[in-house]
Amino acid sequence: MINLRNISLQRNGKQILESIDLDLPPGALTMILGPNGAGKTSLFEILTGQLTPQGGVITWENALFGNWSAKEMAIRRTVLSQQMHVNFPIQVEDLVGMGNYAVRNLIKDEEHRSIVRYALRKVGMTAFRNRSFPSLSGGEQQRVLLAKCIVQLESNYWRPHTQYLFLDEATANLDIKQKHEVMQLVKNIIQRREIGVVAIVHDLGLAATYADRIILLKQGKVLAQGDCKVTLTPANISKTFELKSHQIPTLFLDNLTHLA
Amino acid sequence: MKVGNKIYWLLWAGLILSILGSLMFGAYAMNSTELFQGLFSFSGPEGKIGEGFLIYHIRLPRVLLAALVGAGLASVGAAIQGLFRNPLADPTLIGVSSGAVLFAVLAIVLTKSYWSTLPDWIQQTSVSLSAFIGGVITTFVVYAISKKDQYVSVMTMLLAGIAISALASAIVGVCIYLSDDQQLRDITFWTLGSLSGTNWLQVGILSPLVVGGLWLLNKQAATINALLLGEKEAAYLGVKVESVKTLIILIAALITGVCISFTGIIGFVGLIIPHFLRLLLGSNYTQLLPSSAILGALFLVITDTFARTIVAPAELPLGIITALIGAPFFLWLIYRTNNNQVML
Repeated sequence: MINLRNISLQRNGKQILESIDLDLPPGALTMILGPNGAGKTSLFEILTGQLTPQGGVITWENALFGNWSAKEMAIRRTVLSQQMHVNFPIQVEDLVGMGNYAVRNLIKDEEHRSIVRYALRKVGMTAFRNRSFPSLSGGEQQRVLLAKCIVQLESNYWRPHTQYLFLDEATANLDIKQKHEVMQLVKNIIQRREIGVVAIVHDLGLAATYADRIILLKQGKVLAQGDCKVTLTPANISKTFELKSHQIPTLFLDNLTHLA
Repeated sequence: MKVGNKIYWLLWAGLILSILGSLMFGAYAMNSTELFQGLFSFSGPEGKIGEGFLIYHIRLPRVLLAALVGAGLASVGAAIQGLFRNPLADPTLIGVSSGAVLFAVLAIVLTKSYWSTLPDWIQQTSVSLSAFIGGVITTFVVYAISKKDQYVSVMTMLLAGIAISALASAIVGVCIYLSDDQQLRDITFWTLGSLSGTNWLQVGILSPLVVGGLWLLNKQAATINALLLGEKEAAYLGVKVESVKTLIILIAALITGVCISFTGIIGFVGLIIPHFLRLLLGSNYTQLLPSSAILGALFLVITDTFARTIVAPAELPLGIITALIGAPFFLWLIYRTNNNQVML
């Protein structure tokens, strides 16, 4: 479990995050939603170890977060980013194998290859293993990057730490079908092991379909957190995204009547 | 056998053949029998200067220096391209070469009054040392200018490199204006690139630095692979990005600095060798770095043989030959790549 208590962050004299209290349980998919400028990216950068907050405490399995080396972070968490641009003809197999970077010299060659094969099979990209990464379509690239994350998780699963997978708007550039494929794969990963997944998303529909927990951020504060049905109410949605009642997707209006 | 392994064997075989061939050709050409006799004896028949003397005192140090410099420049080119995530980056483009030449020229001109009284080895080491320092300083200036919010802008980097090169060549121009005949010859040597007058002392200074630098660089191969995905991604995988960048830039500046300090500017090696190998092998740096080193060595041994035989007994500056051969070949590669729609 990752716990954030009273986290605050200022940048250039501006308050970005203010007294954030969050719980991110393992074995669940937590989605962070909010309008642009709500502080999602800053929160994400704090969680992945790129930013240090000025105030507050983060604990990771009751251990104080921070002061971990890049490799110590890498065995605890992996990140699936938004589509990236690569100028070099990296072979898919090589790219997926990079997931092992932090522990490569602890792993035998044969084991390394079998983890890579497993990850490629898991995302259905085995046939593409000898292709050059830049020659793939957006959806295919995202699946290869997910396979890299699987390698990073798999090669450290025997460690005592709980592992987390962070998704940084990982489906933003994909079409609807591709989005669902990637999210389904992520769900499969959670089911296999007690891995915590934390995702930043823009798509309310995607959140309602896949999230176990929702965190609504607005102007650096947590507006609501908890189960989908409790958090994704028309009132919360309209408050978070500043939508008028007729602008709220009907899906969530139904949700309310269903709950009532 | 993997394709990569086959290519290694081919490259090694090619390198050894080109070294043997390069020992045979020159103002005085020998056939293979003479070469092998020469390799095993120092003195010629009846006390004359024999093939052995020619090989061990004149050609071998030069061929070895060509191989070391070629290996160094090609590997550094590959590493810099990986670090900046741009297949067109090159030690010349980021200013290290112009900085090295500038400081070498400054060392030659500013020590005017007592320069010729110094022993040879001090002259050579002090010029090499200042070339090295110049290379490191300019690289860091270019790097610092192009870095904003932990992000290195390739565009800014190239522009800064061009501006610094222009500034350096202007100062070199002033130095040329102020210099006497002897210094002018030295300066021309730096700016056009040449391996003439190579001796064992240079090979002795260069080889531990280049071999050591390449060894360190090859240890970073997996890290450079991760950096190809971007600095953020590399950090997620466990790379200590800032310290690795500093290390790679330092090694690149060291190798390029010392190579250039002995040979002057030799362009295109760092650009075409890695590019060509990427088309063959892909961009896995655990293969790309060592194969770039071997092919770079091979390329420079052959071009230097051309440089000293085409207009024998005179010779052409090596930098001119690498550009004459390199530029058209590179154009052909680009043209071919475009037509086949293969990604860089």
